Amino acid sequence: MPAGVLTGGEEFVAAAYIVSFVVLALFAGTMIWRARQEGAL
Amino acid sequence: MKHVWASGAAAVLLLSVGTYIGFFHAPVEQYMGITQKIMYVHVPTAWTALLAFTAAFVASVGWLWKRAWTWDYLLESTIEVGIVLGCLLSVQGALWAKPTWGVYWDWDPRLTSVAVMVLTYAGIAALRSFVDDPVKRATWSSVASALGYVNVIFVYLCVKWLRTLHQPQSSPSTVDPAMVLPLRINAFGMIFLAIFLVALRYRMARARRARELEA
Amino acid sequence: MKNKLAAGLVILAVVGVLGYLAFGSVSQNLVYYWTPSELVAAGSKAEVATVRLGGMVEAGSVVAEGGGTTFAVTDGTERVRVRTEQIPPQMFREGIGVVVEGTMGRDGVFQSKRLMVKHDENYRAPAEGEKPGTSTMVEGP
Repeated sequence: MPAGVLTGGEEFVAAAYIVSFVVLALFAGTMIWRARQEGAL
Repeated sequence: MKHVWASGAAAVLLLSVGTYIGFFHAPVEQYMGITQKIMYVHVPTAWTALLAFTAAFVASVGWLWKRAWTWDYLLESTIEVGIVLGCLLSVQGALWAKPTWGVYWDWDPRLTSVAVMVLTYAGIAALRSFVDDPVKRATWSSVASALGYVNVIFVYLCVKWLRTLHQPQSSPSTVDPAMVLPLRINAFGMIFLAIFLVALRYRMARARRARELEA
Repeated sequence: MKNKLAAGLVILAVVGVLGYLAFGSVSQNLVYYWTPSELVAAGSKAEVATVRLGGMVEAGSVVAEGGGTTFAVTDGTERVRVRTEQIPPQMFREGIGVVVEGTMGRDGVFQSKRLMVKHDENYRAPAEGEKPGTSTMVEGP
């Protein structure tokens, strides 16, 4: 096998995207909820 | 308010399209393989976090100069968004680092300064919640944020100035054009998302200040 | 109210100290790693201490032996031989950047405790008709 080639790593890609979109969705969702609670929306 | 929702919708649309293109149309990097695709979420997060703290810097200068409450609302909202993006950035980076560099983390100037940046602004946010007087709170956190921005600049430039583990900035001349496209789409997506979040948080800050100042 | 303020200042102070410590761990004068030239120039002073060495993996220097890997790190001027018992990260190859944390031995071989690959800012598709990784055919150990 040629040296220096990264094979695999799919789990890291999946983790990075899942964590990102979950965190951002939660952040956005709670932001909307909080804004409503505080009468800002 | 319509524009705020539109910004959020644009974010969802752009991030969906950009991510799709990144996975199904962009090529696989010749050495890094599929893990390179983390770039399409990590780099936009980085740019947007730095932009958020830059907006915080503008807000802090605005308050110190004009003493208009709008700047304090902007400061409060951009700091919060910047902190969340900054934390996310370090987690994404660690997940990208393990298969490529071989370690989740090391204390090189880039990673260290990002951690210091997030901790600094988290400290400022905590300080804000402890100060009851709105004017004092605005002033002290503006001063602290303005000072903290020095480190933000360092975060960006240290890969050029110093020896680091993290590589220097990429540019369209170092990145395949078919990769640049989804990167840019997601960058705009992240920025629209940040605008959406900052706008909502700004409104919250305004409502809080109104209640405080009438009490 | 006074207590809250004090607590807030303490938080800021903690953050400040954290920042100082964090930068301190990057070592004196923010030097994250030594180059081979600097390590060689330090001579016996470099031995015993745990340091980081950074440079490029020298072409033709990678050898699998004795359950580990030896190779040389170069900055174009000097070279330092390195030995690692770890399996190198997959991206490790001739010509790629590395940052190695370890100790310089009296035998002139740098014993690595922690081997990190430092890739550059280039992100390229494989050349026409080639699969990823086949453009520079360098067989690893």
